[in-house]
Amino acid sequence: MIYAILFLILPLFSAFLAPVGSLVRTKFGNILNILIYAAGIVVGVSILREMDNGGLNIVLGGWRAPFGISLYLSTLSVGFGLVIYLLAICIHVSELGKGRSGRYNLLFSLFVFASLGMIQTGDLFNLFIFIEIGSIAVIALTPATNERAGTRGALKYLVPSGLLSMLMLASIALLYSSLGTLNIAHIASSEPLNGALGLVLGVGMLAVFFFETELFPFNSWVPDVYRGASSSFAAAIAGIGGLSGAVALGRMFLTMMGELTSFQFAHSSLLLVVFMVAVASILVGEIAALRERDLKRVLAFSSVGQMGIVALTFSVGGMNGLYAGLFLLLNHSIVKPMLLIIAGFFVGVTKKATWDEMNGVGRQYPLFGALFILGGLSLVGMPIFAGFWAKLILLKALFDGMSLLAGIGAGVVLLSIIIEGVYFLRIGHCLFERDEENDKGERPVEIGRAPARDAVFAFIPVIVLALLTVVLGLRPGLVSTFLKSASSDLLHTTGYIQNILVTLSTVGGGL
Amino acid sequence: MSVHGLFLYNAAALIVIGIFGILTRKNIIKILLAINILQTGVNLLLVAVGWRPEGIAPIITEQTSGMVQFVDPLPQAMVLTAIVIAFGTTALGLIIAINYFKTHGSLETPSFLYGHMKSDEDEVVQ
Amino acid sequence: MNRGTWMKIRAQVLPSIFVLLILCAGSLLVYRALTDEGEGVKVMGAPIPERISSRFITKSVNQRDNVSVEFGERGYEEGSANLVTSVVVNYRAFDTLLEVIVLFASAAGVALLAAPRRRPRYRESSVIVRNVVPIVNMLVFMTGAVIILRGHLSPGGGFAGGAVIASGFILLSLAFRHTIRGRLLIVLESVMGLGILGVGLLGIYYDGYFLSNFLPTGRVGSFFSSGTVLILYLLIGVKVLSEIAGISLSFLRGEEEKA
Repeated sequence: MIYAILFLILPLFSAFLAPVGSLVRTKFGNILNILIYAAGIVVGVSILREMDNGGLNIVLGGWRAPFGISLYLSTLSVGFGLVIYLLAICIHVSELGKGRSGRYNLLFSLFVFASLGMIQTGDLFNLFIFIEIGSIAVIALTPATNERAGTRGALKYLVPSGLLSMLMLASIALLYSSLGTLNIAHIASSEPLNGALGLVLGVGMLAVFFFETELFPFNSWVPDVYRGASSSFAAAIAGIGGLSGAVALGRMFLTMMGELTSFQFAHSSLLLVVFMVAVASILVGEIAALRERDLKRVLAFSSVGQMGIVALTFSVGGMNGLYAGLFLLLNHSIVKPMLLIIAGFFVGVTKKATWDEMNGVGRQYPLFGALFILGGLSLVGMPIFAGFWAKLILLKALFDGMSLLAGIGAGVVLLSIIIEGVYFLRIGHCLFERDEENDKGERPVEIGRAPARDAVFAFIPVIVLALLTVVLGLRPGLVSTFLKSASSDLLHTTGYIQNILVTLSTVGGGL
Repeated sequence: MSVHGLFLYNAAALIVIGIFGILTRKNIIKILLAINILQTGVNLLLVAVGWRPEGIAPIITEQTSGMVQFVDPLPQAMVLTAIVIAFGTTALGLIIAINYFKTHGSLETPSFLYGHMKSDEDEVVQ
Repeated sequence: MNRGTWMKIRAQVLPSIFVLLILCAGSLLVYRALTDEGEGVKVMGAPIPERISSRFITKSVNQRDNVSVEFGERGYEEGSANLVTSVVVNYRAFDTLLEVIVLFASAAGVALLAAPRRRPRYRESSVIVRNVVPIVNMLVFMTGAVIILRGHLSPGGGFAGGAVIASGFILLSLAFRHTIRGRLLIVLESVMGLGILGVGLLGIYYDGYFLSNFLPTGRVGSFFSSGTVLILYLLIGVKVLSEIAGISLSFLRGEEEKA
């Protein structure tokens, strides 16, 4: 018998068992987490196999939606949930060598749990609590390894997160007073809201998702958190956190605030807001990355830019654009953690944080250096890699758009590709520079040898992720059905409402 | 202004004060207090939204048996959760403040509205 | 005043005035939006009979025929006399599980980040404190226990009761040196958490739904009523008190051990 709820609940077992187990054996937490995530993948795959018509609705406690809380398992949520589990395993493997305490593993499991919940839940207040759990996990884990920079990063995350999540709660309160429900599908299918009211409440609720998805103007935390956290946790934030934030943003904006929902009078204004935020994120992110010297910060700003492109597809480009955006999101979630793990490894061996002082490290560790360049090229959109297909489909969709917004979007995306190419190739060139004086006239840095165990542990997830992006680049058809169904899930509000409120297949957690 | 309106405007005032504090204060403890004021304002807003004229407390006793004139219990449940969340984030914020003081020597940060934190460029973080 | 102080005041006050002006403008815009007279549903557009909570009040989410709830009657779909508890622990029990996890996460985070204290300077508390605190604590613990146990009958429940008992522990920690081992709290938290998950999974076993209320509902208003609510609130109460006690111990004593 398969318990479909386990797909969400499994990390909780690891969270409750990790601290107790670590009292007995210190390595307990790491191994347990990996086992649980592997079990999660097994559960997810079996759910996907058994899902017949595209939706599985779990009502918790047996109270029918919209009165109780419901979780919606579709190809979108289960598929991206599988990606989250896979990333979690990869990140844990990369830090097997370092002793992480039981509480660290507990918080990591809760971070995974919160991210899974954000993409599956069908209830607004439930979503709010998942966001809070994720925030607490990030705030607690960022300073866990490096006190000074990590505390700065955590502070920069904590203050805006507190402000914006409370704004979301206030908007939920007013929305509840207007429509009388908290269920996302029920809200979407309610009477149309007043336009101005819809705009205010919509922005109030979207703001916290802009924050989670690393978009401008709420991206001030991204460089400091990526820099202050250990690179494996930064990889988790980039891959898992950004992924769930973007999917939740899509669910909120596309499904709940779509054209035919209760937000229809405010929809065009909200769309303009998302468009402007996206364009600003792309420009700010890429230009800041161009000027940045710290390696992990470059990757942080690059994340901001990539997420901006994803958000752009939420506002223009139609179904094809959304398809490309989700593909891009998938690619980014695979590649960015890989880049961050390699970056962390390089920082460890060179004891330097800026990329122009790391010259030559690629010669010492050619495999890592080559994979770093491979990742960068995949993000930029070089053929053979997954990013190529995503950007191609996106540009085609934007050019077909024939509207001013689509045109601006296309221009900005092209600009971002050029800028990304410049700084990634620059870093790549620097990594493989010869043993001579660089521009500043300084001698290259001493490159230490890392213990072989650390290198191997870092290598395994990196090669897995690299292979994934190459495979997706050569055979993009592998994920096309998944992405098509995922994008229609987000866009076709009526189907979503049908599945949840009319409950085509209602399951309580068992099958 | 009705009693209901009084509560709503009060909540709005608290929210505005909280946002003002977060955006302009430099001391971390003051920022945390402002976040708490904001959270209190939002909780008050939630409870006020659940009010109904001539409503009674949502508990069924011998006196209230058979009645339906209760105030809305759902926002009160949400406030319960919100208070616990506020407690959790405040505790975490305080421990971060303590660590910040330990590592940076002062509780003052440049305001989040403008300026950025002085980052320690010599520090290498793996 | 001289120019120096004027410059300092200007640097401090000017940004605040700027933010204040922006906030005033913003609140005005929000107010205009909230009271807009255009078409469409307005704020407060759904009075209580039109909200989903109308069914919570009459306990008719799955049973559809109740007009109101009578005190002392059996046979309702849900048995708590306290309607807020029925929402918190029954209709929206998943939210409560998540709320408990929020507290769990912040307790773990605080413990993770708290710095170990080397040899805290301990000052013996006064005779009055040492003698009065145990007596006061008896009352505190009893009150907390009653609040937890009567959560389905009167305002209170696991969270409030757990916080009250935890405040008793804080008093103890302030009065005496050695109160409770951190390890006990860790074990308590985890066991209670697994217990809550277990109740949820038992719900699947009996009813097919996670966190469903599978025990008999009983009479509204009697102590042994409302199914799993009592058990859940007990588990939640102990978990909350161990977490809050853990947080305060982390602040008082620093990190106990690297768990």
